Amino acid sequence: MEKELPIEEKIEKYLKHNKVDYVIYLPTSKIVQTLNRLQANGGFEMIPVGKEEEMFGISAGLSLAGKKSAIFTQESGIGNSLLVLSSLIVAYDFPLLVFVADDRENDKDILPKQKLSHDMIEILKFLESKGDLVLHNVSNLNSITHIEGRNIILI
Amino acid sequence: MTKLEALKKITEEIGNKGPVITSLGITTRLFLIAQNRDKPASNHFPVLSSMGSCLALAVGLARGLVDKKVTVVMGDGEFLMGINSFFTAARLRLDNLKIIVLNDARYAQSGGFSTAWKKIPMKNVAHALGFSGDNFLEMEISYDAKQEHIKRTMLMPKEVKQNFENYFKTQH
Repeated sequence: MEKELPIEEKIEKYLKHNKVDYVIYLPTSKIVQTLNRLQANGGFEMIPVGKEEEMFGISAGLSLAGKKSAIFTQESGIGNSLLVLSSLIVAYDFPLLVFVADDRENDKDILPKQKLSHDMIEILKFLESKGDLVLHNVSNLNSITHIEGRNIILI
Repeated sequence: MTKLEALKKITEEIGNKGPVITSLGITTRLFLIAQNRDKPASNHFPVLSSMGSCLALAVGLARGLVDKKVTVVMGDGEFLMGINSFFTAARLRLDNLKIIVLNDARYAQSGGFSTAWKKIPMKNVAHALGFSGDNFLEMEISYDAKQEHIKRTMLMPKEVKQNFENYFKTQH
């Protein structure tokens, strides 16, 4: 039986296979190993930002330049980005590839954060039901073949 | 100088030399008037909503198009709302990005309430972040309350994007 790759290696392979050159990120604890790996192994242009909603605008700009990018954020970043997600990404029909750290299990002792995390996942499910995006789990990463779509991947 | 006069000047200077991004609302509407156009030219990408995302989009475009000069034109309210991207642009040192801010220190489309730029010198902030005259221009403009009533042009975002993407296809 084939050994399951660590998540960070799986993501790196997926991005390289799909010719994603740019990684736009705002670090959060659950994706540190992945970001370290993408940064250390080279082959990606890393773009750090100060607030999550920026990432969506930068991703759209890169897309206009014919470049593929991936966004890495925590689920609270989705809350900060609803305006740009709706009025830029969906309205203009930009492709989108976002890896979202799902911290629901780790945040049980921080009640406001736990509420936020649950709400954000529910909002993503609602947006999926409207056809604005497709929600995935990282365990099914290799089954995401429509890279030109709007894909949100929970880690 | 009025906003329209400033945009006419910008139009004369940049013409069709490279991609131009404009911020939502009055800035885009007046930019079209300055160009005598009903719809954007193929090198023009207007951000029709999504206030605060204009500079981020320009940062991404400039990063992806290292051999082309990208110009972004926005009002000072838009600039303030997306100010994080000013820091990102500074950090990335994008030599091919020209940022132009039309500053009347007001939310011109929303009742003329003042912005933080009424008290804070924009040039000082730009200078502190390492921007020079080559990649940052503040144009001080007069506030005109009548601008709020300029007729809106119905633009379809997907059409605008397609038009802009076609511009790049003709460039390669």
